Amino acid sequence: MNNIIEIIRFTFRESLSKKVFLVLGIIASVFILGIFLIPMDKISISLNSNGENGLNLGENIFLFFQIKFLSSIGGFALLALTFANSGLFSSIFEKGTIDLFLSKPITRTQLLLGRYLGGLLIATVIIVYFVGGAWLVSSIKMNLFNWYFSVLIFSLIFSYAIMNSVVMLFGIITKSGIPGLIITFFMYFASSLLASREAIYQFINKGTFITIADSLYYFLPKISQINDYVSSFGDTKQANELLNQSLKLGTDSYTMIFSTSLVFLFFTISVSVKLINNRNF
Amino acid sequence: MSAISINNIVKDYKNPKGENKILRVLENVSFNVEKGTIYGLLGQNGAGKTTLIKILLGIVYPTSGNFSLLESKQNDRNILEKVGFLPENHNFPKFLSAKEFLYYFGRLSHLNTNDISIRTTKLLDMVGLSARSNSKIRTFSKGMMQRLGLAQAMINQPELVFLDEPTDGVDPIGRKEIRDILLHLKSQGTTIFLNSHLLSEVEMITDRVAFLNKGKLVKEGSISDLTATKHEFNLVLSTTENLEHLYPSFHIKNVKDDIYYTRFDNEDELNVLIDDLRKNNITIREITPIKNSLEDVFIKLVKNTGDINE
Repeated sequence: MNNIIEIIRFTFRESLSKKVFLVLGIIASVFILGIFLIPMDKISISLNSNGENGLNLGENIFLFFQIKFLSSIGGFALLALTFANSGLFSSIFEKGTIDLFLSKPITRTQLLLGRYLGGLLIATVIIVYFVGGAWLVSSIKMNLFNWYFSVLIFSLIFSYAIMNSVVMLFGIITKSGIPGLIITFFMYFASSLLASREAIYQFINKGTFITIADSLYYFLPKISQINDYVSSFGDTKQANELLNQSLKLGTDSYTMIFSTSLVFLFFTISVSVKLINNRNF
Repeated sequence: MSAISINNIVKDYKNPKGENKILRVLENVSFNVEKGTIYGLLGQNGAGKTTLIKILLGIVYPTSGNFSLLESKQNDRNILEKVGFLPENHNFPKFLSAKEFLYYFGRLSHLNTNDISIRTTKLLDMVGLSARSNSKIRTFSKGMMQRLGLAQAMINQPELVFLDEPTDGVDPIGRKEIRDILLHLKSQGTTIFLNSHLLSEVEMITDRVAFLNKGKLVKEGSISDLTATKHEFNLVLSTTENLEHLYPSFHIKNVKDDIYYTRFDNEDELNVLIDDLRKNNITIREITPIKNSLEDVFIKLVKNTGDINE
């Protein structure tokens, strides 16, 4: 376990030295400052009609837009973090680096998992600071706190964990960060398309296409759906109704979306561990 | 007591060119390295030296054969707590300072923070980098990185150190300092496994060497045995006589000016020649036994065992 912790610390230290994380930190800070400077107290939220949850319509609309907006910001953060960390695995496999690590009393699995978790840790810090900071500042200013928001943070970290595992897998296979990055981005957008596959079936109704699309849908992680689903976690019934109208989740259940994505995550990590343990460096 | 024991190691790779499908880079390599010695593994580029070191460290898996380090079981990674390694063409994390670098790799060698601190100060001083301990590695020259790599290889006070081309990119004074460090380590009982193509340097410090050529072990032995020649001498004499005619049975040849080469079938003949020279009032100014350099030995071996690699 100590070996993994040391690799996590090393990876975290490495990430901090990268300019891309500095830029992300600056963007997040500017963004949070921007929210802080918005004169929210001047925005009229005292619309007359009260919702069933005791909040007025203005407050419900604020909660709706807050979580939708921050969910989109989270999506941007996911892509930016995946890009920033794409070299995390390929860099460790470079000749002269991997030799150094593997000459120490650590296993390849520990090295890989330490690297993976180190990337996840820096992503967690950025997500919590970026999205969490924006939520906290806007909530303080409105004096309106949606505690379900923490689920959005969790879902973003979970989504990043999946994307990072794909980068890791292709980093091992190709010894480069770029193919993994391309495939992860493709997967991210494909998950959005596959989520609305039933709409596509109205235009393309061929059996083979349906089989392939369905298989891909159930095999691949459902990143876009996870975030869409979580962004409907408003704490008011009215906000939920508004969200449910805008989100077409179909009949896919929350449990299925998370569990199949979790299976995919374990699958990519297991294959990565298997590959690194069989490889000659 | 063996620090390293290698038995019939074979390593095959898939041939990237697709010819014959299999590329054999090591073929039945076997030898032992005694504890407390400096052992040199020599060979041309592509001979399989680095692959062999990587196999011993578990970075590359052998196709067949077995080995043990410090009498441990093969694949026992815990033994690496007692092993140090300086890779060739290393790629150290440039975002770290020298001190941080030694800290992280000390931690990976299971040292506690206090020990690392003590060792870091001592080692950076030993390799002449004390003044740059807080400088980022990215600002280091090749020679400085090599010295830092050496410090890294010694951070855990290893019983066995693998050094792959340790003097690569180091200036002559730096090389001398590295040689001194290695001899100091040897005096403390550390076993050093040196991989180099700088034969003259290896000759200066190693006790035994093995020659690899195209993955095969072509010769193994002590430096003195490998470089020794049988009854061959250079004589420096003051004479105007034509010695080649005077002593035809002694195979004397004038090499240059007053330097003569001679070869005997046994040691007694040297004394006979000396007596004869003295009898003829020829002044003997110097008698030097001829030794082959390691380079001579290596070139002969390569020529005998096959083509020199391009």
